[in-house]
Amino acid sequence: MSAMSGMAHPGDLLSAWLDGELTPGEAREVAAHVDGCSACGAERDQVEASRLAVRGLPSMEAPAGILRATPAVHVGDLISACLDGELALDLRPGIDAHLAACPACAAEHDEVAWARTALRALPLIDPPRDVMRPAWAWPAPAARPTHAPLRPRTRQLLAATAAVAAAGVGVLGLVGREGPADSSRPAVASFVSQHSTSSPGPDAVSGLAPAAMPISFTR
Amino acid sequence: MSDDGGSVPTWEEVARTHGRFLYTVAYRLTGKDDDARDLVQEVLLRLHRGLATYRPGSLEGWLSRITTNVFLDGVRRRQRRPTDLLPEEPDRADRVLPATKAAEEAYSDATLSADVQRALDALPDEFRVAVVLCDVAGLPYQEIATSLGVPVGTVRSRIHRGRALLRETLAGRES
Repeated sequence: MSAMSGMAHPGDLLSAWLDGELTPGEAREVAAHVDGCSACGAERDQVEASRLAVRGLPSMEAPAGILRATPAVHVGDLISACLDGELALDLRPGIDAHLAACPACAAEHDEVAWARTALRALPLIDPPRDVMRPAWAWPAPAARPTHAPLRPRTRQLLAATAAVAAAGVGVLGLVGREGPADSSRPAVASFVSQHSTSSPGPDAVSGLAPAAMPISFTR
Repeated sequence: MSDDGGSVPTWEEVARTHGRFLYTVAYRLTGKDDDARDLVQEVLLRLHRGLATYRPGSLEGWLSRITTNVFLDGVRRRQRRPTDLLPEEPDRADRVLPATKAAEEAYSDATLSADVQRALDALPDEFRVAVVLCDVAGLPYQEIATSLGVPVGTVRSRIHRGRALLRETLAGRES
């Protein structure tokens, strides 16, 4: 322990020695020095007495509730977000743990939850009848007298227009009418294929000449 | 025109299929039948004029956003003209007096509903809007944030504080 020999006295190494924080070699050298040095021996006794005095202090009972009422941060408006399902899932356990440990926040939770329930239980209200039929949307019966009555010429023109329109509809009905397909009438294509005169020879099954096979009168 | 076609539904379609929802949201926001009527008619008028831009999705969510925007426009107008508020304030506590038979019937069998509506009316506008859009209209936080033009965190805070204030106002009632 050359360094220690140079310092003559171990000084603050005494506390480290008493606390068992020195290496075995250091501890042996300090012990040897203290045994041979009355000043360091006396200092060792003082340090040890203080050390034991502090370590001997009794543990104290915590005041009731003090450990429950001092969470690091109150959760505040996260309570409402939690109730509304607006909170990230990974925050939920922390909120729940806080609520379990903090009476103030637990009480706030209950109050806010009560208010939320009361608000959501408010009934829908039937609107007064006239509200959904605004004044500007009324059929305005008062507006009619402001219009001048139709002149005879206008009436005639309207009547003529109506007649033309009706006639047009009738014509369109005749011309454009498309009834359902008449299945009793064979399509032209199928009629031709079945009764064509282009059959080259007698019917393959009956051996008879096709009905429409042209008859030649020439030799 | 229907809500799945991407086009703006007509006011008739909205009135026919979503009138109840629309009026309820309007009433919860305003707390007064007259104001709710005005709000609904303004929304229908905007639809009639085709001013609204509808994107395919929840029609009720879309209606809620329009209703809220119209409501907030009115709030901003009143804030620019603070004297308008003076006649309204003294009877604010008595605002929940549904003038229509339908509204009265809705509350007659539920004292709690009237109390909750009264507490809702007492909330600051920004809290009430957030709470109504969440708990009455059923919009998710992100939609509310988009509708109001604020961050989601702000929406979360307003909803929470609005509920806490509402509960505080209703303190004493048996839960």
